[in-house]
This record gives sequence, C-alpha cells and structure tokens, in this order.
Amino acid sequence: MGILSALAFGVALCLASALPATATSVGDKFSRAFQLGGKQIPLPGGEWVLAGHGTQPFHMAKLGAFGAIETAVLFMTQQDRIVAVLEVNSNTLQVNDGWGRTKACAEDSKQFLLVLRYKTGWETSCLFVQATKFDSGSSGPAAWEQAREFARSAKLSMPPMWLTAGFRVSDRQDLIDVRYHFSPALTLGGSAASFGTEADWSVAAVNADPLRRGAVQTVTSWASGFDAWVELGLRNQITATPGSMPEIAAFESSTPSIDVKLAELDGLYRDGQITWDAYVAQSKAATTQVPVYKEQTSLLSNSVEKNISFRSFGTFVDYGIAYIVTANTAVSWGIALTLNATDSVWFVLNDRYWDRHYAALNTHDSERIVDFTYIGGGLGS
Amino acid sequence: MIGVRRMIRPNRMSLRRCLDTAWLCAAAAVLAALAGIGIARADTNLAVGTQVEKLLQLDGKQVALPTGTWIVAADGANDWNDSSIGAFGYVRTVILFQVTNNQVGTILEVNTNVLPTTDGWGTASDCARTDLVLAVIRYRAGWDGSCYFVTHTLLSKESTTVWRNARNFAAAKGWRLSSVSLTAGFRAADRSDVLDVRYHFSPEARGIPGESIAQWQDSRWMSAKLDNDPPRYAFARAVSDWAVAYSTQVDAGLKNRPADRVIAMPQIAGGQTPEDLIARRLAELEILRQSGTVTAEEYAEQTKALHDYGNGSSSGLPDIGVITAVKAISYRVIVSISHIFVDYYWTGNYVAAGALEVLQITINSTKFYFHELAWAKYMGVPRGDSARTLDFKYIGSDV
Repeated sequence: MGILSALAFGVALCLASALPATATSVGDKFSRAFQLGGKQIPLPGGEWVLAGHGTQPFHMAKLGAFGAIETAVLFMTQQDRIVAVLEVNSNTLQVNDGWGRTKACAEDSKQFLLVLRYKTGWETSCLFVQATKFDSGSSGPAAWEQAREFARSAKLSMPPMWLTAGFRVSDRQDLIDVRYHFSPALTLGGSAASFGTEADWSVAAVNADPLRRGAVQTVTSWASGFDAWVELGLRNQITATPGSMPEIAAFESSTPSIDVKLAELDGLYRDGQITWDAYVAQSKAATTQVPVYKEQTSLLSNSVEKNISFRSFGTFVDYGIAYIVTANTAVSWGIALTLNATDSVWFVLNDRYWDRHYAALNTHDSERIVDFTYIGGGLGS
Repeated sequence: MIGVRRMIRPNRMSLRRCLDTAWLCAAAAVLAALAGIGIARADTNLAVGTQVEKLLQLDGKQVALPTGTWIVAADGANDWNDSSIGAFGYVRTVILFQVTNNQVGTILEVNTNVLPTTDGWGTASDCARTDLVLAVIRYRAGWDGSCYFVTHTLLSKESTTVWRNARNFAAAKGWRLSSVSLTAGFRAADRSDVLDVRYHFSPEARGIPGESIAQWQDSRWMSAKLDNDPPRYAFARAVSDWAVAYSTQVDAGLKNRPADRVIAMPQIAGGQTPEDLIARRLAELEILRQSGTVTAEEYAEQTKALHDYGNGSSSGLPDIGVITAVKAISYRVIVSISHIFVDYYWTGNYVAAGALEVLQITINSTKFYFHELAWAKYMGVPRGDSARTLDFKYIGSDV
C-alpha cells in the first residue's frame, strides 16, 4: 500500500502538470461545444454563456473511481430574456464498468417523446421530451444556484415553463446527461405567456391545442436528430456547429445525422475513396441503419424456438429408444409423446433460467439507475 | 457548400444509374438542405513524407505517438470491406516510419474507420490467440472491446496496397526494412468506431540479429523459443511491458482524448516497470481531492473501491461451451427424474424403465449438448451479443 501511495503521489505530480487547466468561469461565452469532464457538450445555434459550474454530491461506490459529477448550466439569451437553459452532468474520471440508465428514460405520462436508442450492459443512449417547470426561484444543484445568481445580477428574466429535451448517453467509461430547456416563446412568441402552468403543458392539454402541439413537435423533431451530436460529444468528435435551435432546425432537416452521413459518403465517392458499389450499398445502409436495441431480449421466444427444433428430432429418438426396449409401437409412441410434452416444459424453464442467469452476469449495469440533482427537481431526482 | 450539381447527381454517377436508384437520387436531393450542417469526419489523406510528432489525428480519433519524429510512408484505403458493418465509408490505413541511420526502426500501422457506424465493430483475432508472446483482452462485449497482443510479423509480403506503397517509399529513400519485426498490436472499438494500432519494431535497429524465414512458426520470436534466447526475451519483455501501459492510450485515442503524458519507446536497457494503472487513477483522484472537486469522504470511498476491485472490467463473455454443459447437466437431472415415472407408467416394468432411463441419459444428453451448442453458436451468448471477430488487412503475415 505504501509503495502504491508513493507511486500515486509521484504520478500525481506528473499528471498535475499534464492535465489541462480548467480555465472556464461564469460569464464565459461558448459556441459549438462546451468542454466538461473531458467530453464535448454540443451547443446548438449561437452563443451560450456559462452561468453556473460546480460539482454535485453523488455517491455510488459500485461505480468505482469516477471522481466527481460535474454540473454546468449555460444560458442562451435574447436581450434580457433567457430563452434556453442547458443543464449538463458528466463524470470527471473514467470508470471501467459502465454507468446506467436514468429514470427519465423510463416511460412516463408526462413525456411527449421517449426514444431508447440502445441499452446494453455497458452503454445506453436515450432521449426524451417533456415540459419542466422552474424559474429563478427554483432550487437545484450548486451550479444552478450559481446560475440563478448570475441571472439575477445580469437582470435576466426567465419563463416559468420550459420544453425540455433530455439526452442520456453513456458508454463503458463516460457519461453525459444533458438537458436542453427551451422557452416556449421561441416558437410561440408572446402567446407563450398564456401557458405558464404545468397543467397547460400536460400531454392532454398539448394534444388539444394545435399551437402548443406545434411547439412540442418542433422540439421533438429537433431532439430526435440532435442525439447524434451528443454521442459525438461523448467521443470528442464535434468539429462543426451542431445545427440550429429547434425553431430553425425544423425547417432544415428532420434527419440531420443521416443527411450528414449521405453527404460524407458522397464526398468519399467523389474523391475516389470508395467504389460505386460501396457508395450505393453504404448510402442505402445509411438511410436505414439504427442501433440494435435489445432490452433484455425476450429469452422465452429463443427457448421455445430451440425446444421446437430439439423436439422435432428428439421425439423420434425417444421413440427409437423406447422401441428398442419395449418392441411395442403403441407403448413407444406413448413414451415418446409423453416425454415430448413433459420435457418441453422442463426444456423451456431450464433454458430460460440459465440464459437469464448468464445474461445477468453480462448486463448487470443496464438495470442500474443513476440520477443526479436537476434544476427544478425534474424527473429522476 | 453543397452545390446545385450535387442536387442532381454526384460527379461519377451516371444519369442511368440515378434513374435506376430513385432512392439514391432522393437522398442526393436531401443533400441540398445540408448547406449549414456538417459533421466533418473524413479527413484528408496525409501526404507521403509528412513528418508527425506526438499525435496523429485520424477521422475523429487520435493516436498518441511515442517520442521522436514519424514520417508518413503511406495513407490510403484498406483492401478490406464488409458490407454488414453498415455505412462506415472505408477503412483507412496509415503507415508511419521512424528511421535511424537509414534503417526503419519502427513501423506504425493504423487502421480506422472513416465514418461512424451504429452497431459496433469487433475484436481482433490475434487478441484471442494462445500462441503469442502476449494476448490480453481487457474487455469484450457485444458492441465494444479493447485488447492488445505482442507477436512477431513477417513483413516481406506485400499483403496490402498501402503496405506496398510504403515499401516503395522506403525503397525510394534507400531505407532498410526488417523482414521480421516484433509487433505490439492494439484494438479498441466501440459502437461507432474502431482503432487498430500496430507497432512493428525492428530487431536489427535494436542490435538483435534479423531473420530470413518463410514461415511464421520458424521464427526465433516464437514464445516457446524465447526462454532460451536472452536478447530476444529481454526485448519481448520490454515490448510487452510497454504494451500494457500503451493500451490505455489507444482507448483514450478512440474517444479523441489526448495522451496525458509523453510516451517513450520500449526500452531494454534499464527496463521499465509495467505501468501501475491503479496508481495512475489514484493520482487522478488525489488531484481532484487537492482541488476540492471531491470531498475527503468521496476520495476515501473511491480509493477503497480502486483497492478492492482494481481497475478491471467485468465484461468477459461467458464461454459458450461452459453454458451449454451447465444447461445439459441441469436439464438431464430434472428430466431423468421425470422420465422414471413416465417410463414406468408406460412399461409397468422396473427393468424396462431402468434400461430406458440409461439409454435416454446417454443418448439424449449427447443430443442435447450438440443441439444446444449449435444454437449457442448461431445465437451467441445470452443477450444476443455478437462479439464477432473482425480483422482488416495488415502489413505482413503473423500466422
């Protein structure tokens, strides 16, 4: 232990000089991406200002050494109004065995949209859209308290209700939990002031009003394409401005990630890097490819399929064995068919049990709930 | 900007072909809407002769380079293609040389995808071999994997177009290439990207006599022969120790994270201790504690977790053979009890029922095992993990 600690101290000295200094402070302005915990957080549209930055108390020993959960809050403003709030949580150190899901990505009656792109033992990607109620008086993590103070000192106003697009993307090492809260005024203009309560933004109320439904559709359309940017951010691969704000993005493309891939394939073909056949095949694949999503694959169907195939020849084998011993056709068929019925039950139960046992060994993280403290105490807190 | 011409058809796309593939034309039309959108992933190829130091950036990934100057010897498309991967563009191969006294001392061979995919890549077959100097699978699941290995490679074969170009470049420069190298290979892959990095170290450049052999098995670098060859053993050991430490840099590079330190080349003289990855993580925690980012309690909790559980991953795939055997045994125990009653019910004879029981146990257990094994190989381990093996075309031959 002593040697290890001494070694760690020595390495710490080296790392301290090697690690990039965190030079961000409240009031700094960012566009394209914001760096948090060694990951890029995509910033749509124009300029965002850092309003709050800190860590939040989060304990989960089974995650291992993740350091701390960093939280940042950024504002996008128009004159003296906050029109969008970005709330993001991310780990500071990489773990080795994955993170987990968020309750916000479980089906809920408040959601306008829920998309589970994939969820496996060590990774997850999901997005949701819902209404969130918070204003300058709402509580939240330390970064939000800082942001509230920033808003007060800068005399920035904010609406009481927001349309939130939330994304949770994690892999074996890292996690990004980001929520973009958009002011309904971005799409509804002055009429948004009429819809300032939670009841105004219930699913039923929204469905009954074309105006609010349009506003929600604008955000859901944007969110369903923006998840690709969040995933790129997890891998530090954002090199361009991640599209526009929802009210503008709706007029550009509903499938930006597919469009971009088609454009890139087009470029590769033009440059002679891929053949015509590869271009055609991959362009076709790009329009249809979605991540394989396996939510604890139904093992019953696999077991039944296997049982059918096993029984299809097993029954005749059973008959053959019985006939060798009894030399009686009727008795042999009786034995074979009885075994066919009873063994099928045992087969499926046995197969399901062991498959679930081994699947659990290999997917233990996918059921773990990992939630942080969010602005306004939204879902998952 | 994407011009009007692109709306109609790509340059090399004939009108007839466009008409034949209406969906493709529709897709091309969509490109017009992309004027303001762009996730630029595909980089321009590096010019041969370009000098690179410290970091090699390739299509949204990074390769941390050991100290010294590296020279781009070739950069192009790998001959490998697998349409089942989806729209990955192509696999790009970049070959860099580090040259000393007209001898190519180290060759760096990097293979990586140009565009991200959605459903993962796979592991390298070398990582699962048992006849290499070193082969370690750090983790491997359905959609991600990280592994490394050390072995020797026969470089005399022109196995890929890019390698042929690199050899021609070396020849034009008058640089000597070893025919057999000691190779440290690394594979890191996630759902989107793959990074396959192989360092081929020249024995001659390190004072170890070269070899001229026709078969991989004939080399003196075979792990079974190293114990009786101190110089080669020492270098293989140095490269193995180096590989352990470098593997984390490949994982970081896959996520476009820069190296957190200067990377030295493998050293025989003086040696280098294998890096203690736990110590590094402890050091990172210590920095966070000192900066106040984590509290003393959090620091204590997380350092305890590191000491208790280490830095490993729980992601080793269960062995299909073991799962199949476990299922076969448990199934046989259950049904054998059930069969006693069924057999006796139909025969009314203890001897006949006993004979049936014996036959059913022997014949049906065998039948069950192979049937289950066939399904397991078809479906993969529970959860549908494919964990497929995926290799590109590499320099030389290592089999």
